[in-house]
Amino acid sequence: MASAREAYLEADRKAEFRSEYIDGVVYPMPGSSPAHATLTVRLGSLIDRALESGPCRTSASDLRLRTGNRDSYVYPDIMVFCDEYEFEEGATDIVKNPVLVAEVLSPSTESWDRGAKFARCQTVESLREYLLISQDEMRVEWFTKLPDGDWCYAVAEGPGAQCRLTALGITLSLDDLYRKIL
Amino acid sequence: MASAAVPFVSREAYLEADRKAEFRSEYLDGVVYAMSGGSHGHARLIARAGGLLESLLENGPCSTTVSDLRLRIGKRNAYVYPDVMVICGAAEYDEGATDIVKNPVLVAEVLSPSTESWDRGGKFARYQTVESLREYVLISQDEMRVEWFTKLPGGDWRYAVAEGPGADCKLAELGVTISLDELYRKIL
Repeated sequence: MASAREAYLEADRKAEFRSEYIDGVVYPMPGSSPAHATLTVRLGSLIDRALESGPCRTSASDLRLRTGNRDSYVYPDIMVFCDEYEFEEGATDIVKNPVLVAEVLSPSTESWDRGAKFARCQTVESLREYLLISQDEMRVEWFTKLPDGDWCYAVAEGPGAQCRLTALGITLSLDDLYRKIL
Repeated sequence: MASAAVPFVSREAYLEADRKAEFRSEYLDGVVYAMSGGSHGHARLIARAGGLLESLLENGPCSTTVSDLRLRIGKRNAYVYPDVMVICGAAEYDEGATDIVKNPVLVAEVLSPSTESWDRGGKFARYQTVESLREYVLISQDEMRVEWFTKLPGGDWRYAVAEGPGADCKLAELGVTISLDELYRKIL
């Protein structure tokens, strides 16, 4: 008999809309607002451009991530990879080694993005930066992994503010991120 | 939160009503939010967390309160009731009041499904503007898991997680350690 995990993967690969899978439960992903969709593209493009001369690559929205010691599959809004992709055994559509995960917040998923999803992403050994992007105000929060395993939490808000991603050595300008959006 | 237009309530009107009311409400930028009741586990964790902090801090200048002390968050025009607060030294009160404090060193919230988003997001954003605050603690009620933010000298925060049997939550700014075994004993 197929496990719940295998059943999820088989169904999700054929489905017309994406679902996430956490500890045996399947969660269909809601559609997003125009601001959410625009911010996702903008963020991905700013990061991709800032990293273009190095080894890192950026992906948006439709790549499945297997989290570490918790049995979960999620679709982050944005991921960055700095090494070769590491795939889950036997798959080429499930990655395991992002350095950065970013989520654009929305009312229906904020609790999840700040809580359970972040908890799962904490088990991804490669992860160094976890970003939360607000869509109703200029506000970016981010967690940077520290050498001892804790995280540094920082906030940038308002015009002129900057988000410094020290693990990647890049800086995002909130003016650029929110231009024509807010 | 409802998206329909809500009439603006002044701070004064909120405080007058809240002091007389049979149930507590929080106030944020002109809007009054009734507080939901908590589960049994939620209430027990508040009592336990408050009790542990109180006994750990009994020899110093700090004191612990739970649930029914109002906190004024100045920069964001808000009044909230944290689940647990620690104040070190004399309490600073809001303009002439003795039931509204302004200077907690620690705030702890026990998470519940209806308030988790607010506790992690909007409420934490407001707490970040409380200048005295050094520790913000989030306590899960469905698993042994405590997350806490400790203020760093540069203004950022150190975020740490303790989970499972035997784990400890070390509150560096207060110099105390909470054992998760003690926090959750007979609760989970």
